[in-house]
Order: sequence, then structure tokens, then C-alpha cells
Amino acid sequence: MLPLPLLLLAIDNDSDRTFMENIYAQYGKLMYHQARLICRSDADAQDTVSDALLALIKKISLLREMPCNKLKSYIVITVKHLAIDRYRRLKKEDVSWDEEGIDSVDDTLPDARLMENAGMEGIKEAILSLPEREKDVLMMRYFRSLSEEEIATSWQVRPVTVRVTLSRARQHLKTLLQERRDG
Amino acid sequence: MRKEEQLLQRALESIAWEEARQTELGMTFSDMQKAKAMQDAHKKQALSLIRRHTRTFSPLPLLRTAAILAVIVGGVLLLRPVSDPRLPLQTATAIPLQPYFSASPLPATPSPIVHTPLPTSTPVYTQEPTTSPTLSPVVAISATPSPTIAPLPTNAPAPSPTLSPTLIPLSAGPEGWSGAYFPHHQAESWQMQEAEMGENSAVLDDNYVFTEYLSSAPLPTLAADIASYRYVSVGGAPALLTEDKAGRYTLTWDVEGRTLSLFAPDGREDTLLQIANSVEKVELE
Repeated sequence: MLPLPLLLLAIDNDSDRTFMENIYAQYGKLMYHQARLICRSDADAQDTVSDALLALIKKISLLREMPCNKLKSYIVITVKHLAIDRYRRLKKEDVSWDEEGIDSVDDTLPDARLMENAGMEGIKEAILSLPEREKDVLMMRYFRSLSEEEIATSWQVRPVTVRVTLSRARQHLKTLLQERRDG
Repeated sequence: MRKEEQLLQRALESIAWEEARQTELGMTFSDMQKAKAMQDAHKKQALSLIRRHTRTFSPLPLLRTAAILAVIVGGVLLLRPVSDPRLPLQTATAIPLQPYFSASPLPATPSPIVHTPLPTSTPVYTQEPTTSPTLSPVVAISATPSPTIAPLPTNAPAPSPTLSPTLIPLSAGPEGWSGAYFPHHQAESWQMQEAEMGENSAVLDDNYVFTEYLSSAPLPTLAADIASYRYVSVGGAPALLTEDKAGRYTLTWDVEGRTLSLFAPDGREDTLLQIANSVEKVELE
């Protein structure tokens, strides 16, 4: 519920609303299906879709620029990440976060030449062979364009944990690509 | 964006696209039906969520309200009578802007009057300034052109300044006129005009409309349409003369608790004043 002064200043943004309603109409079934594959309960799947809609609204300017196929992928991946987060919270899954190496965070991606040598299929293979958490953090940071703080909020961890996980994912990717290059 | 980041993004996009494709292709008819049922059940809530969270916040409505208030305040300030220190008014009675020959120049329910205090005017007709916040000047029209002005009672609860108490009835007005006052100017040429309850209205040459309201009920102010205003003396009493943006004059004044109004949609100001000064109490039969 918005406080009254804010409510008085609030105006409906018809354009954004219509855009989101269209997304929901077009991809709604896919969203519920994806959520249910992970949550295993209708209620949790519906809550996940609600969370996903909120997450999508926050990135609405980004979504508007996306071609149709990328938009669909973005929506599916968003629902997937949120469903996994919800599932873990509900199962009270104890995820151990290794913050070791916090002082030696590496912000650099593998060298462009190294990636070019690997080719697109090689990069994809390397990414898919990363641990789930590291694959997710790369996807969240570089595909969903989430900030480290946004990822931390989603995972309910400290931003520094995200930074360390991200750094580790980059390092692993670099190592995998180097191994691939060196044969 | 750096090249390595672009390459990584493209790879991630490709992975995401394949995942989405697999999810979509993996949907059986049964999955589709289930997803549809879930969407139907959750649709209202989801659309409500979208509506709530696609609101943006803008100061525009607030600015618009402030601008309207500023215009209203400015209009009220413009109506302040400051130019004629001869007048004893402590308050200004705003006048109604009548529609052209309208049968109902005033709303049925009276609105609160706008009282604008005169900050510096020196009363001439009163010997001491009155403390009352309102004033209903009463003008008595007599055959003699120079009415005697009686001073206001000091600190009196009823602040109406009384002019000459002498009233000499002269004219009965046109047939059907039930008001107490009527212009003597071309008295035979006036024609009755349909009017609301509590009003008498007559028209002269389609150019001047004289209306008598049976009480001095507060009149609405339509400041936005007024282009200029000033106070004039009608039979020695103050009257408010306004000209609207269309060049139409309206003159309003009070006599013995009644409000008289002359409206000139196409008339001249000097003729309007001439007519006003010829207003007299009608003969009682």
C-alpha cells in the first residue's frame, strides 16, 4: 500500500503496464510451467511467477530493447533462478558459501583472444561445465544484467559473497578455456 | 563494452535460448493445460501486481495544483479595490458575470462571497473606521441628485452605512415588474425578461439587462473572466463595475438589502452608468 502523499503523486504508466500485460499474456503459461518444474507446487509456482513479474518490471527498459527470442530466454531464465531460490529457501537448504579468497577477487574475464580461440561452442561448453552456482552467477550478472547487490538480495547473501563467487566463476572459466587451448 | 564481455554474453544468450527452447518443447499437452489453469487462477492477482508496480511517481500533479492555486490567489488579489480611496468599503462584493441575456444569471444556491479587505483606503463616508468585516452599503435613490450621507454608527454591530433615508417613489416599472427598484432611464422601453425565482429582470434594447435580486445573497465570483474592475458611485453609493474579457460591463450594487445588477453585453459604459443612476424605488400600489 502506497502512503497517501505518494499515492497522490502516482500516475499510471500505461505504456509499461501494457508492455508487461502483453508479456504475461504471451509467456504466462511458459512461466508457470517453468516455475512448476522446480517448485513442484502450484502455489509456490504462482508465487514464483509473481516474483518474476516484479523482477521483470525492474528491468523493463532492458526488456523493451530485446529481440523476441532473447526476451523469451530472459523470462525463462529469470523464472528458473527465482524458482530455485524459492525452493532452496522453502527446503531450508543449507548452502555453504565459501568466501575464501575474499582478498584476491579477480574482476577480469578470460582474455578475448583466449575466448575467440575457444569459439562460441567452446565457451558454452566451458560455462556449462562450471558448478551450478558459478554458472548461475555468470548468467545473472552478464545475461540478466543484475548488479552484485541485486544478486546478493536474490540469494539473501552478502554482496561480498557474490563478488567472490563471481570472481571464482571467471577464474574457473579462464582455467577451462586455457585447458581447452592447451589441449 | 569489452570484447571478452561481448563474447561471454553471446555464449550465455545462446545457453539461455537453448534452455528456454527445451522448456517450451518439453511442454506436453497436459503441462500446457495445467499451466493454463494456473494462469487463469492467478491472472487477477498477477495483473493487479503489474498495475501496482508499473506506476511511476511524478511531481506534475502537485505542480498543476500549485499553479491553479496561484492563479486563484492572483485573481483574488487582482480584485482588491485599491484605487479609489473615496469609497468607504472595507469589503468588496464580487459580482456575478451574467451569461448573455440568460434567464438565470445566478446559481440557485448562493456561494460564499469573496471578501477582500482594503488595506489602506481611508473611508470618507464614515467618521471612524468600522470594525465590521462586512459591509452592505445601502443606497436610497431620491429625486434630488445629491443624497445626504449619514455617518456610520461607530462600532455598531450592523455596519451598513445608511445614506439618505428619504425615498421618493417615482416609477412602477414595466408590466409584471415586482421588484422594488427600476431604472427611470427610458422607463417605457424596458421589457420584462424571464427570470429565476427571487429575481426580476428586464431588458432595454437588447443591450442592457437590469436585474433585481430580492435579497443581497452572496454572489459568486468569476475572477478568471474579469479583465478589469473599478468602483464607481451610483447615487452616491459604491458600486462595482467590471469589464470581462469580452468587453461586457456589469455593474452591481446594494440597496436596502437587495442587490441590483446592470449587465451590458453590447452597451456603453456611460449609458450603463446613466441607467444605474436613474434607478429609483418604484411606486407601491
